Amino acid sequence: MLRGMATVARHVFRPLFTEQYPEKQLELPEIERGRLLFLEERCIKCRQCERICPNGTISMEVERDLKSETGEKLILREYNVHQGSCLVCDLCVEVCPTDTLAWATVYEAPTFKREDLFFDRERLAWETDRVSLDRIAESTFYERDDYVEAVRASREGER
Amino acid sequence: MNATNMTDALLNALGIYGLEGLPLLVAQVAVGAILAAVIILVIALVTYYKRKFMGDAAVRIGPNRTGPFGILIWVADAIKLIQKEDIVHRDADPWVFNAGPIVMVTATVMTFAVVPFGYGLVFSNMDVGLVYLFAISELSLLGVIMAGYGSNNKWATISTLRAVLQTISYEITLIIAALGVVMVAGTFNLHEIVLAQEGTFFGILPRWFVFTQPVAFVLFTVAMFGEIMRNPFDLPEAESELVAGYYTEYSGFKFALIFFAEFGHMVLATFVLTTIFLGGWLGPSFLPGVLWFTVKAYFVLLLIFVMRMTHPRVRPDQMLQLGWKGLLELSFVNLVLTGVVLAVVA
Amino acid sequence: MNKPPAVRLFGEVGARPGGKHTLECDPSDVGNVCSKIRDAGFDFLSFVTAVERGDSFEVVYHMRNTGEWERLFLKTEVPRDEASLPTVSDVWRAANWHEREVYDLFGVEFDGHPKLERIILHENWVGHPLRKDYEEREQDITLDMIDLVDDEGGEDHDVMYVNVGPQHPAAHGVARIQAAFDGEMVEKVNFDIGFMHRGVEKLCETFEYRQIVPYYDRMDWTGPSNVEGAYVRAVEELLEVEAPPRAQYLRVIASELGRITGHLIGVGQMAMDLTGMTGVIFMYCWREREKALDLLDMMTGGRLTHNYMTIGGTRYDLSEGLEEKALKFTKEMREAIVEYHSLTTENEVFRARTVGTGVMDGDLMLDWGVTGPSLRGSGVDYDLRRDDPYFLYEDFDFDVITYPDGGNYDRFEVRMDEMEESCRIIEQALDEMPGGDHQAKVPKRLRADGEHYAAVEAPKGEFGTYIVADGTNKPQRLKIRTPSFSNIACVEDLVRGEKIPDLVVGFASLDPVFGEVDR
Repeated sequence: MLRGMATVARHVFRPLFTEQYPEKQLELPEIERGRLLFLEERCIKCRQCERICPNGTISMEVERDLKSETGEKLILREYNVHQGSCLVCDLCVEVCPTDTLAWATVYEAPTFKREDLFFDRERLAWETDRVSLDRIAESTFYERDDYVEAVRASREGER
Repeated sequence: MNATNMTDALLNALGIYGLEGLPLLVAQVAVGAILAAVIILVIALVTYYKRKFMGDAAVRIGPNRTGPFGILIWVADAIKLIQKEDIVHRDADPWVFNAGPIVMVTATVMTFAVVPFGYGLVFSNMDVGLVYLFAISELSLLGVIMAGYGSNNKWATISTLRAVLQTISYEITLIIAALGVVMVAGTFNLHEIVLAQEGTFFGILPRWFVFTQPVAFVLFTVAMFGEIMRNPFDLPEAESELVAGYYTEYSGFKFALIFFAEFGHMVLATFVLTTIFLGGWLGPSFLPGVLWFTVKAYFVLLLIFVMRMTHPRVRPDQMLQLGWKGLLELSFVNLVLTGVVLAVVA
Repeated sequence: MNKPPAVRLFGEVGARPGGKHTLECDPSDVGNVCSKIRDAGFDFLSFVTAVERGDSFEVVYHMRNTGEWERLFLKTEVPRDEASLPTVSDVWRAANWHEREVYDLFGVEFDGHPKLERIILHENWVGHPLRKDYEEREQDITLDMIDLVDDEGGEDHDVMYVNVGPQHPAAHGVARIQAAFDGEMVEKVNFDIGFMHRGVEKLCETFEYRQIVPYYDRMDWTGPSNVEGAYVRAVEELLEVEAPPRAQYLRVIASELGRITGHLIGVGQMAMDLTGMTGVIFMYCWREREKALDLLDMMTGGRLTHNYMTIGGTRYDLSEGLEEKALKFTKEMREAIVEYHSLTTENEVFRARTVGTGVMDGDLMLDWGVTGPSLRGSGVDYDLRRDDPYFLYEDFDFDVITYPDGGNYDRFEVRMDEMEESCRIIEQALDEMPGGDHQAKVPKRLRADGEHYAAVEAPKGEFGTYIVADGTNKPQRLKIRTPSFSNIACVEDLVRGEKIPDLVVGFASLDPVFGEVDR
């Protein structure tokens, strides 16, 4: 009885184990699977990742164009990853023959809106650029608004 | 003239003497209000400190966002709870349900009136202080019963039955243990009980009742844990069994009141233990009496916290076994022995 | 005794041999055959399930005997239209819930079953989802309170019916215990499970073999790496793939770290149910669990959903710096266990609360199909790591912990001591880590044929997978035998006549995880 009380009393004077988020964040190992990255120029459109994905997180649309100017016969129209349903199982990365897919460590993966977890081609490219510049997981939490603005602006520019 | 109550002391300090009639009443109400406010502030700070301390012990940080070191957390809590929707569910008995928390808080705050915080610093220097204390603090049980039955909730019902059972079982031990002190001190007046503890044995050991009445002290402490419903006797609350016990159905401000009453009860218990066993405000003169009182009460509070974090809760049947088959007998034995010793010495 | 059980027993019990470990019989004989099998020493029923075979259902029983732990399967075929056969719930109590599950999901009826109701799905559910021709439809679901106690005592007999859960602090997820209290006494309890049913078995029928692994993680989130092992082992044995020794050692490390995380929750939650949220013990357990999760994260790339084990190996090799950290962790873990003991087993109040409460002897536990630490707490020496070694567990030197009395205290102590054994195994594995590759060569497209059952010792008990393959790249039927499902079935016997606080503690001492109960 008294030993238990002593244990408790001792802990009052010990350093704390908990760290205060968001001032401090856990250091994630490099191996950690967080968010899917997609390097489009490497993709050979074999659709293996789409097939192996257990719950349809990855969906792609490929068009066959035999008279393409660039010489490529398959053109990638859409490549969507709905991160919200991703199981982070690594099967797509494993199956990819050309190392097109990779993982980024993300500390703050949740978002306020479901749509924010939806990554289309542009957003994947943007995300991949950003992460490959600086592979360290950054706080995307505070940057979200800017990011949405940027995507919106680029889309409007296209129109 | 020695001031023996707080109103007089304050008025004397302000240079006012000899008030009578209506002005005296007004002054007393004002001092009472100030006292109540101070007590409320103390209890609020204790809630903050409890959270911080328990956080430390459980390798967590505890509150740290509101104010420096999170010291204003109780303000935030209060504001949050007041803002919340006040739910009285369809099957509840609204009158009893609403009155329960009020009775609890009123009873708790009223009991502080007889606690002497320092020499002469007692709001009401009653001759039957100890009796008043037990009587009024027991009223808060009435609040528990009202809350529990008014809720019309099965968990609350079980909890209320447990609360009644437990309080009845431990109240007797509590009073009988305190009677040992009363016999030695020869008075029910809390102020005088403290004064009876003045002086030392052999020049070092203070003449506190914890040393002259050690068995009574242990019994009183254990029964006190039962009385304030803290681990290992937190059966009425028992959040892993009874969800939240008698306040399962409460929300918003009424929940805050119950929470406050519970803490008030705990703080009161530390004050009473300090007063009747640890020599109240007495101590070497390099610190003022009120500070000695605070320091002693603080250590009793730490004891409650550590007990609370360490011990599992006992089962209701074990609680009854301990109460009726152990503590009660011991307290009577202690009473008789005290009487015999006093007779022999006299 | 060296002959396989099916060869030895078929004449004795009156059934046809169907393979080395398999017996076959007619549906009407099931009752007789089973009682004879039980008389022959097979006192532990692992699971009952059904497999759809064209126009009929094949009902499969799996049992083991004490001491030898031989496996024996009994199969019988019932026609689809009139699917009914005698119950064996009077032979093994464990059959009770398993038969209800088969009834619920397949629509096979068991004559003479004491309470043949839906167990996982709601009572108003229409259709039997694991039939291949089941179609989705809108279902009408409302929750009712059910009267539990028969009116035996007449009007003098006052009982209070209380719903403990689905939302209750001690529900450990979403269990609903319908309880009848007589004062503080628990008169009768009735479990209502299935709030977290996600249809994993049905889902798995639509997946290729490789895709199933991540779904296993999500059943027991307290120790996912063990659970992956249950699937990987079954598939590897079915496909006759062998993982290289390095992979096996890595799997052992992951499994034992998973066991520590699982037991820490089991121990911490039980202590919390005794103490309340204010008790520090739960937070101390959580602190060590965080450290273990950090290690697992470093090793597998995911904190809770590892997907570490692949068919034929592991996903990654040993990460750099892991060995050092793991050794530091085992050292800290041992210190922490001393601390936990000072707060729990050395505490008088804790002992007063747990010693001698929730007592159930080993035979009854086996009869209910309880496995894992809960069974070993009743003195039954059964651990799949030793009795049916997998992942090269035979290389390691560890003790199987048993405690004799079968109370809440014993189950608690078993978990505490097992954490220490896990530390030992991790240290040995790191010390003797063989070189070589961590992944065997496995064909890209996996096709399997035949059927197989394999189980591992998960933190909660025997976690098994029964695969029926039909030659395609997807399993025809995948039955998941989860330990918590069988374990909590015994609660109604365990807590009858105890007080309300012991209902909560007895339930917690079985350490159920509702992801695997409901699947």
